[in-house]
Amino acid sequence: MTSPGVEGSEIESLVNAARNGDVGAFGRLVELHQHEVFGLAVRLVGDREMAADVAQEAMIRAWRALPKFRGDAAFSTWLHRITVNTAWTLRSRSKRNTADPLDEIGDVADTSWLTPERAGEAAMLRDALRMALGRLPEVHRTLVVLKDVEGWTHGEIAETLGISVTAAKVRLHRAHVKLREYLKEEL
Amino acid sequence: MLPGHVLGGVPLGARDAHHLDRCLTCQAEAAGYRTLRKALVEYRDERVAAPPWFVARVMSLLDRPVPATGGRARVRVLTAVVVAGVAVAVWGRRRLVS
Repeated sequence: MTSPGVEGSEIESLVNAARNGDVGAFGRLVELHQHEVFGLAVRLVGDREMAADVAQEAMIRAWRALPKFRGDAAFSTWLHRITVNTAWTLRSRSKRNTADPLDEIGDVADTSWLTPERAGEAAMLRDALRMALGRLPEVHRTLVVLKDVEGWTHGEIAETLGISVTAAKVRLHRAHVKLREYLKEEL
Repeated sequence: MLPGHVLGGVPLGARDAHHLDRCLTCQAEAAGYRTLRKALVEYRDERVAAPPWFVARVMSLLDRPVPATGGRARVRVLTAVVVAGVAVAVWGRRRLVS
């Protein structure tokens, strides 16, 4: 989900240049991936300010780890994994954990192409889901975001979170059951 | 199995499908999961933009020194060694005097 019109080969050559220390090439990669990384961070931590910290730290970690990037996965997949790990680390360190203001993030949806009724319904559903997600334990929210929003496989989630595939499936099932209940209450 | 069926597209067995056709409780539950699926699609399609200063800030932080891992631990060990050395010296001096 990089900027439209950007070829995979351009990303590849930018990655190669950045691996060799080309700061300008890395800057272009940051530019191309900033919105997806920030969007993922916002969904994981539920707070724009903290998401900015997470996304920023993830980019810096990516820059430092680039020499070790072997290209087994796509650069964006690798970057997303770093973002998830960074969110996990910063969240556990943070003392701001008491509030979960997931309702702060919904200010940039492009609904201009929808009819007013449809846009209203979409916004209502999103807001209710944000509230419902905010009531889930962090691990359950992470699972829902990675599986249902980001489209990761159970295997990818299990590997990144350091749990078994079975545990990922069981916890996701529990998260869905709770999320349905909470969504019903929020609507 | 309803979440997997409605959210993950896992097909129901004939027996479960038959049950779902007749059970109002399960039908209500399935409707709840369909609403959840719709909400997740809307949530996924929402575009979230990074703040305008984001790229500049990241680039300004790239040359930040890597935090020295274990630096504090090394200081603690050195301090402990010095304190122990002083303690041994004082104890030895007292023994000599007595």
